[in-house]
Amino acid sequence: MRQATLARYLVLALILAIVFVPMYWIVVTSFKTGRQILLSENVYVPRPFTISNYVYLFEESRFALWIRNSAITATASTLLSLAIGTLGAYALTRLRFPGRRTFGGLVLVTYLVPPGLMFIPLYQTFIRMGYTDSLGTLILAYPTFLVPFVTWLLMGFFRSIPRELEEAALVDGATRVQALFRVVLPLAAPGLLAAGLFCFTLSWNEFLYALIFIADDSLKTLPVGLSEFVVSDFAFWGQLMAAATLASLPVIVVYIYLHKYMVQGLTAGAVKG
Amino acid sequence: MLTDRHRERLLGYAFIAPVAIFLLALVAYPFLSAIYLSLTEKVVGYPARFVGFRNYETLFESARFRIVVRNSAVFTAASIVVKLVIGMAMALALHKVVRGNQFIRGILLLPWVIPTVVIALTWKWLLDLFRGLVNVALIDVGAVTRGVHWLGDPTLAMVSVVMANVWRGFPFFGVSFLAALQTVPQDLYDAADVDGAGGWQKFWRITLPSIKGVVAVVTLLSTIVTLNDFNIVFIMTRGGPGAATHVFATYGYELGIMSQRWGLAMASSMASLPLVALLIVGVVRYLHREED
Amino acid sequence: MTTFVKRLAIVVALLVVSAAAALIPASAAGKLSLWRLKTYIPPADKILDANAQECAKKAGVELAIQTYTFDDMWTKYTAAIESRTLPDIAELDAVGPARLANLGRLTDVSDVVGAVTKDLGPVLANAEGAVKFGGKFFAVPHYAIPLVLFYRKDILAKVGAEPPDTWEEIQQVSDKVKKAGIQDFPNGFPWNRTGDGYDPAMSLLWSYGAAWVDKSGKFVGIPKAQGLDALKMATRSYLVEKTSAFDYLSWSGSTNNESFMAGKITFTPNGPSILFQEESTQHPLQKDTAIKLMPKGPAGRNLALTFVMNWAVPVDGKSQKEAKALVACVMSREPFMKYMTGSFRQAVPLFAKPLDDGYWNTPTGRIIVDTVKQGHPVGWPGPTTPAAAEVISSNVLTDMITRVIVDKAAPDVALDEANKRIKEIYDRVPVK
Repeated sequence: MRQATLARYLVLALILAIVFVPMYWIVVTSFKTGRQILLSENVYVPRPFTISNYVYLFEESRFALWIRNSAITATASTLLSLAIGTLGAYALTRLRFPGRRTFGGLVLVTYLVPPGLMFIPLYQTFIRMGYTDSLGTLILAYPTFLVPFVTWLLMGFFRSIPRELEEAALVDGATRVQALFRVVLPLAAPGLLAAGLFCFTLSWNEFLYALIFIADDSLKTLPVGLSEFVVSDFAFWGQLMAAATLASLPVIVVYIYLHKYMVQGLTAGAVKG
Repeated sequence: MLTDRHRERLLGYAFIAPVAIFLLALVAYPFLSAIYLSLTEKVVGYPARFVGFRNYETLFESARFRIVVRNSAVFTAASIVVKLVIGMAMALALHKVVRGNQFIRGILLLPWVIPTVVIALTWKWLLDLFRGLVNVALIDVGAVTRGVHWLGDPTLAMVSVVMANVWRGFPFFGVSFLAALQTVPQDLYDAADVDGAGGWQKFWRITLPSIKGVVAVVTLLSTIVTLNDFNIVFIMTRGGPGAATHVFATYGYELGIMSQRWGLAMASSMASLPLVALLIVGVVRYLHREED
Repeated sequence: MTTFVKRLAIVVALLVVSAAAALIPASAAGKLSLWRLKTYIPPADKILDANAQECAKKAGVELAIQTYTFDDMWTKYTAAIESRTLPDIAELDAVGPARLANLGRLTDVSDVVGAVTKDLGPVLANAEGAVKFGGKFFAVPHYAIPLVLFYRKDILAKVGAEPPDTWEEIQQVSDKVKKAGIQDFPNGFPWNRTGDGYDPAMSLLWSYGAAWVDKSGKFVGIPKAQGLDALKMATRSYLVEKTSAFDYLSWSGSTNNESFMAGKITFTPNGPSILFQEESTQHPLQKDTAIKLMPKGPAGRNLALTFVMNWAVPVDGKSQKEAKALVACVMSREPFMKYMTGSFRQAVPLFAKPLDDGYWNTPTGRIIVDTVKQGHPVGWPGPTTPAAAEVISSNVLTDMITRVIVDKAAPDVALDEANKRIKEIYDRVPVK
């Protein structure tokens, strides 16, 4: 027994070390001046230690705006994808209707065309709809690659929940929808959180569609904004790393919070009830 | 009066309607357009001209394309296998660890959350011949006398981009597997303990089969995404040295955006389609089989 | 469960409210759109934007400026070309005007060039090839970023070498530096997929008399003897003297800058940006950094001028008259001189008068101006055509070189392959 625990801690330590080195480099660089970075001075500890890069982000660049745009886009895409995917996954695992097998497979067909080439027809679709230059285009475009995965991931989680629990609720007079919300979802909470995290992170990081669909400078999302710190001949490393640090922290914090709240809270409640 | 059967059927259709409408409206057109364009000579800005399978012929006769296919296969296979292993290890380790669980979970998520551009640039810098931390450290501890050509040697360059891809992607595997582990009922393990089962046996006989569905889906998705990965390779090596790390995405970029040959670029990415389709069909069948 | 749902609902509501504005599409009526390159000199960018906005105010139009980075430029333009959403004013690179004019998507701006000529003098003859087609101007040259040879004065002094004037001399000096144990890989000529690769590649080939077209722009193929000589020169430092590291082949546009400034290489081709970066960080290597004209070969010094930015007026928009007027205003004497003199010697003009301005009368300034005056456009000795553009953007030349270096292909095999590729391009792409 103790051997297993030791092994676990060793594995974790190793993985943490691997994660740590580049992270350390990113954070440390964010506190260095341009000169320091260029001259490779004080590689391991910044001296002078400066927050000028962070200040630059908010004073000179539109970092706060990028964060806002990305937050809106990512949250909305996530909620939309989770909603659509949850319904789809429930139907495909719990409800019987002809064609459900084929449909399930078809859902994944979206992944046959890489976004790197899909962006032009998709862009043209929005132009034809007359709907451009708005974050809404991204919020509609992102689910195209999020929904299939969410559907399939949740299908996996729903399957592992015993039908008897739902059936008990149905016998008690609940409708299918009520059973979905009161029984299935709470138990699938870890899966929902994983799927939600997946959606959020992918939307948060998405670059190509955001580059093409948005022309207005005030609607730029974070990845597009960040790419401007690399200007072919020159990379503004300090600001870039500062931006990366700041952009990552909120997501981590939210995830930790949600995990504690949602998964443990919901799961515990459901099992008891 | 609707029978229960009918009601269930209607509800089923109602629930998948959003998915269907969404995908039909926003995916069908680009998908069909991509297939059509791959059969045309289409230069950006000019009208498309149907040429049948000529693009595919051009590609299959091109030595460079064959290299791109091979590189993509190597890159994807290596990345997936390593990510799978590390992700599983991470999930198993975190599953039982209690102290600092939340915090560690958050930290391990960072590679996935940091914008890819930054990750690629950072790894490029870390592996720089002269100024990269990796070479500086290796020389400092005396492991090597000169900098290692991480991004110069063709084989090492592939290793480097795989490393960066793995670093970026393993948390996705880890988090998904961890979530899946949490749905495995503890009684199964307790029963196995009673039977005197060891750790490995519990893993192979109980854990893995229980989370098979999630493993299959996550692996499938990551394979598809990795196959089309652009940023990491582009930023770290641009497909170099020579064509040593040229993959589908960088090749498609070179053809479509740099040379403006859109038809050929589409054909290039369509070429990976049969493999992806096979994977998808395989996984779907496998999962459906398990269901019955 | 309910408190969580309540909190979530509040968060979502807040986001929706703040997103309301972002979701409504912006109305574009009466607005001009301008796309320009984001440079590494933020103060210069600011001046340009201020100039453009002032010109817009004078003309009574609203102007929306959008920036793109060099790497993303063609991704954005490709989507815009296909969707017919090119901006009213587009800053294009060296091959953009050729491509778009061939598509018929650019307005004739000969009158704008005429107006600017009154202020700034005539366009440089060698800058015409990229923007003048069929006797008409389809873009207005904005500025150039010439590639010069950067070298370390102090290291050359240490090995007793003179600043090299030929490709051969660069190899010899690099060899001396390596043998003296000063640097492992002093020859920083990277045959990579960036401008630092294809620009010197063209200069090298052309200075060995190995162009692939004739004066009219028709395909003739890289001549075998000259091509092999050039190829040998390109691959020597990687394969023979080993004064270049294979890693250089994977470099991005900024890696050679950083490696030079970190003191790891002696020679590298680059735009004047290194001078700017050293000055702005008070770099200790400033006094040891020098520049020179790119080297000459047996056929002379035939430099490439591949980094030029031009103003074009696409026909997608409905306000071409206002757009042309705005370009003429931004390129008129006062705004342009303000921009040029605020660019830390990075924006080199392509019109005669500002080029001869006292601003460039410094040791480094003169070399920069000389390069621009002598440089040839993509497609030399012919004009810039879409076919020539594709040769460069498909990386044919640098691929030829890396085939020999990385794949260890025989030079004549690599040369034949390259010629085949170029021929295929010229057969396919119209040469107008």
